[in-house]
Amino acid sequence: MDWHERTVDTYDRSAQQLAEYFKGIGSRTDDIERGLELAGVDPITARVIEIGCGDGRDAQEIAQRAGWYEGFDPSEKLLDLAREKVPEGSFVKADALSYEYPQNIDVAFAFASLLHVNEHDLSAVFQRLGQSLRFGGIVYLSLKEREAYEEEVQKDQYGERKFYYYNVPLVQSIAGTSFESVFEDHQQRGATGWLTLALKKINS
Amino acid sequence: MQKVPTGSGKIVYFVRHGQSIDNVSPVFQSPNTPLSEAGEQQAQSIATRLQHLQFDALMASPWPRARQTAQAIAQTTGKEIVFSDLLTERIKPSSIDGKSWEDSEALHIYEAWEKTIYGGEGRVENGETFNDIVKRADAILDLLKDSEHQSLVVVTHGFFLRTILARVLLGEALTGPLLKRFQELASIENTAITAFEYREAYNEQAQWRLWTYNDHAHFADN
Repeated sequence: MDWHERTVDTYDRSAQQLAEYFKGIGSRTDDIERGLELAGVDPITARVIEIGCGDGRDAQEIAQRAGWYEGFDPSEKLLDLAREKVPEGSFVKADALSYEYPQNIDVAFAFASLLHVNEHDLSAVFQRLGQSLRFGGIVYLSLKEREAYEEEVQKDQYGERKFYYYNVPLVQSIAGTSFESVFEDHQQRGATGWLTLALKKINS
Repeated sequence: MQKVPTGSGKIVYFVRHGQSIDNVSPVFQSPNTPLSEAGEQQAQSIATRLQHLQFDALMASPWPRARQTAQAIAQTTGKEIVFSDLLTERIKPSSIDGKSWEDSEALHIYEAWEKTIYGGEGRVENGETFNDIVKRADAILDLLKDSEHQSLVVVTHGFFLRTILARVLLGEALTGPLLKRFQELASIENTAITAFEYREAYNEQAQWRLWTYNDHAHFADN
């Protein structure tokens, strides 16, 4: 198994325990509302995807507000929990590279999911997002933050996972000239820095 | 130092991180404090020593002082570091991180939290309680026990390492007041090695045993 498969395997094996852990952190309601607002669209008509929807913790909040929602995740076990939690939601098994991105998307949320994707693959994800989002559409993502790009293997009670650390200039350079940064926030949890970033698709 | 004496068990060499800047400042230590200059030398010294130790895997707390110590060890031994949040230092209320001991409000919060880490009721902000930290010690011991590796070097922190020590020696008899005695009476130097083996003995079930305590012989090299 490569690191991608091992990471997905950890989410599959520990889906229930991780869902409990995510619940403890809480839904990103403020971010969801901010993302929809930044897209400047009436939420009722908004088309929203979620990259790495996990157990559907945020799907619930997004689906309540947006006209159309689809979440995807490579972990089948987490998707089972999401389908149970949000029966009205649409969920697809895929990773950020294999997902068939729909057209005319208003907002793509990615909460603590693309931190499992390396910089090379993240660049490919942004290319797909560039084609999928409408002009003015928003990519709203949160990542682990460090001054320098780094990868780290982490092992805990849930299993083994690989994480990548990003920073604002790096994400901006990966996103390229068709995205413009419209919101950024930095938080510290323990010794881990967390970066939240909203990027708007523009005419480049 | 030689490998496992019995040849049948598993051995874990815990290493406390090198001296941090906050270790020698009159402040409540922050998770983000890096190694001091002396700490970097200690990290080099343990890294040189561990070059001569046969071990299979290297793990570390992701907090900078432990991460830097592990990076020094990775450099001399060629091992990849696997990080775990289960290895961090005790979690104090974040609101006092880096604050002066003379800040009376911070001191008040610290003292309230200290009661809870030693078994008192309640929780202070995001601070760990006695039950939290004992549960975390059990979780890392289980993870190490179930690891496919037979010998590991694990870089962690002083208070947490003394908690593991107390848990291994006292088991279910460990209480908040006894944890306090361990914290006050068991010294563990920066970068010292404290090793535990997991094995069967005298027809008993396999369990963790203390094998080496606070070994800092590498200080003599400096």
